[in-house]
Amino acid sequence: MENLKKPAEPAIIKYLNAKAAQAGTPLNLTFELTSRCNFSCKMCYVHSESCNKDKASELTAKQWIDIAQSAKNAGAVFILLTGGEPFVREDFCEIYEAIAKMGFVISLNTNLSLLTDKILETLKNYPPRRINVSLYGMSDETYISLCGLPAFGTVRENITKLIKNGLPVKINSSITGRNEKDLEKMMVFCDGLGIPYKATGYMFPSARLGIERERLEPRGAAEIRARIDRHCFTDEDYNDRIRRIRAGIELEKSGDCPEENDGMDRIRCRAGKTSAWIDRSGNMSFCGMIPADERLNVTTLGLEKCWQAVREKAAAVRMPSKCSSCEYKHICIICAASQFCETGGYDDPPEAICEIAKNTLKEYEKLRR
Amino acid sequence: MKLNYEFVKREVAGEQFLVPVGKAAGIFDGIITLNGPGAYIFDCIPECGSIEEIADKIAGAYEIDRETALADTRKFFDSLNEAGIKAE
Repeated sequence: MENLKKPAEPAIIKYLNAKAAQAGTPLNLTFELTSRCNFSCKMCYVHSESCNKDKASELTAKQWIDIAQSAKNAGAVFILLTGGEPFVREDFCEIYEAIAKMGFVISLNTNLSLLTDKILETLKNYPPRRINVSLYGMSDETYISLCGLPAFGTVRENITKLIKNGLPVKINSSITGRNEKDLEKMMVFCDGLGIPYKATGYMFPSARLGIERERLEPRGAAEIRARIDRHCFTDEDYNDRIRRIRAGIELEKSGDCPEENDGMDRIRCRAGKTSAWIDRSGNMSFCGMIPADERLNVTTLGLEKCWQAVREKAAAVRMPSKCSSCEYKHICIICAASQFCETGGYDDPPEAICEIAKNTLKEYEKLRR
Repeated sequence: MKLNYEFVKREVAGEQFLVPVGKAAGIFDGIITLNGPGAYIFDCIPECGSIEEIADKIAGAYEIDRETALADTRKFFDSLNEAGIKAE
């Protein structure tokens, strides 16, 4: 499992991020090309069925390409293209190719159910650094239940297609009560293909959509964490992880939000230090989980001004003071975005995340051999 | 001269590096870092016809003797070659 057993990223990228943080450069940008999606996943924080009417509020291909040029001028190197589902845009290839030619290192998030020959050809001609495929289960039954469509066969076939064409695939899974039974099967599937896999049982409440989304209760989310490690590690290594949890030693962090720790009470990832998120309408925030401030629109205010404002906002964030002395902090998954999405602010620790941390050791112990 | 793969030279906070573009992105995972002279040589590639010509420019720009410049330039291209990047 890549996220647990290999270094999260090359040293040069860490170094560039350190330099960019000092210089105030937006090295990493996420372009949320659309909030539309052909799936209607019950836990999604960006898309709900009403989003399919949002096409008019999306930036045009030209606007995205112009933003990419401004981003390049500002020093951005790493671009993540995401949605919604980016492949729902008819002009996806136009945007992708133009950005790829500019000299960015591109990653892509997709549910991979809408891969066309044209998109495949574009990806082959301009290979991204990574294609993050969301896998929601191992049967049509699970897909229908969670995403609303019997798409498993298509997604599996398209994963094979990408791999056969030498494209770098990573699988991500969001685990809820509807697909938790498929977790081990998904891990075995990825092991068989020799591709990295990452899953999480913790789902952010959608502060952006402002509606209730489905998710596991805290004990269930802790159980998923233990089941992933149980699958990834030998008995000896797994038992060693239990020993470390007991001893208060921190486990490895996920590579998706690398830490740039400026102190326990500040934002611990790169959000607002070297990275930012631009939503479908051009509004910038320091993390995609947090509702963007519509006053910070890159098409009206310009990318540089938005970035400076986002940096200031991120620098002002202080996490709850109670967290710094918590006995569970070494296994806690809290971040500034989850803190905000759970409580609407940064004052009190979010109960759901505290409960996950409190249940983690118990759930790991249950799976000890 | 030109390279057999396409790269875009980028600079972030004083660090210069090459980002592979097009098919090259599928072959070279990530970025290739450059020091100052390396970045200068990369810029000379499209406008020079030979390694010797690039070495002449290096000798002028860095005020070093031609022999040293030629050795360093060759070393740069040898490193690219080892990575599968050929100059033609």
